[in-house]
Amino acid sequence: MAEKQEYKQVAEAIGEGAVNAHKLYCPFNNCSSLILSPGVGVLTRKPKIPKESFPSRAIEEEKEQEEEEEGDDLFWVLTDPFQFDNLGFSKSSTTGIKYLACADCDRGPLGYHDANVIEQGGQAEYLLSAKRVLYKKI
Amino acid sequence: MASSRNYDILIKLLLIGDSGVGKSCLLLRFSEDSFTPSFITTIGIDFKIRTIDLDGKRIKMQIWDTAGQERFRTITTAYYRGAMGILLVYDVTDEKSFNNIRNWFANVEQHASEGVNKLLIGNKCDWEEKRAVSTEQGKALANELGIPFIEASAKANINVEEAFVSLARQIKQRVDLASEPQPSSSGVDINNSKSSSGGGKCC
Repeated sequence: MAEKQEYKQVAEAIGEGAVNAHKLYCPFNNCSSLILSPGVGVLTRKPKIPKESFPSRAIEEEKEQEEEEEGDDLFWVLTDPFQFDNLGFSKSSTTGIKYLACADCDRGPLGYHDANVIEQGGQAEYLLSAKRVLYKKI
Repeated sequence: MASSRNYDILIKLLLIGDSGVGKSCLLLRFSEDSFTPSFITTIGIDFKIRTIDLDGKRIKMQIWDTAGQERFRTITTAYYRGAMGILLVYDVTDEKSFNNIRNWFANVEQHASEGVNKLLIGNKCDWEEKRAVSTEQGKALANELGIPFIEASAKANINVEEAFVSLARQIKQRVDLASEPQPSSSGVDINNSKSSSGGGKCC
């Protein structure tokens, strides 16, 4: 059985616009929840996960993010919640953001969905952070 | 876009019952033992996607909580739209929530589509010293309503997965029975093509 790997271990083989060739898993301790099967997401550069609506207490428990607050990041982009194998979707924040969380351990955020994109005439997008999930070859 | 259809049956499930019976906990604690507060319990959950394999078919479940609407006793038709399965939840330590199941059942009969599968769940069954509703009472009510019954505990992770899977199984049987299943406005989606990807972990 192939070991799960972090994004930096597989990044070289994945370019923007690629479709995920790995199974993607929850990164949190001992949680083996399968989030996405291969061949579904498209790697795309998108704005980072918005943080504005997190209660400060909640953030502390989450995985440390050693990144800049602003700017873009890489996400696996999906157009329909049903494309995921197992995933939780939060209620919308006051600014129209739904956060994605592991369906098993409820931790996250592992990505987001911005309803404003649709209001501005775009297609619905569900963005799964490429750097936060674990990768397993099939 | 990459392939978007990697399931055979899509099932929309709703959790219904009085406030405080633990519906959100059933949704948040589907399987893993992680009764710790997390960011999503603070923000609140809208729905979860779950994928299971049943008899070689890939079943995708979308599970919704009532989002507090039940406080106003006005679960609207919109909430029921497309629902194929309903989990009627009461708290075994709260007799009032048990007595209210009849009202919720009537609400479902009124608003949900005909033939929707239902399951009665007595939650918090691990809390024996506070128990106010016996297993026999639960069974008797389920018999009266003509629906299956299970006692569960979200906190102790007893029968939670079983509850969802058994309801999914009933729905699958109903869908299989339909002589010529086809996509409909109720959100049912049948796709016979097998996904080439590996089987999902069944929680």
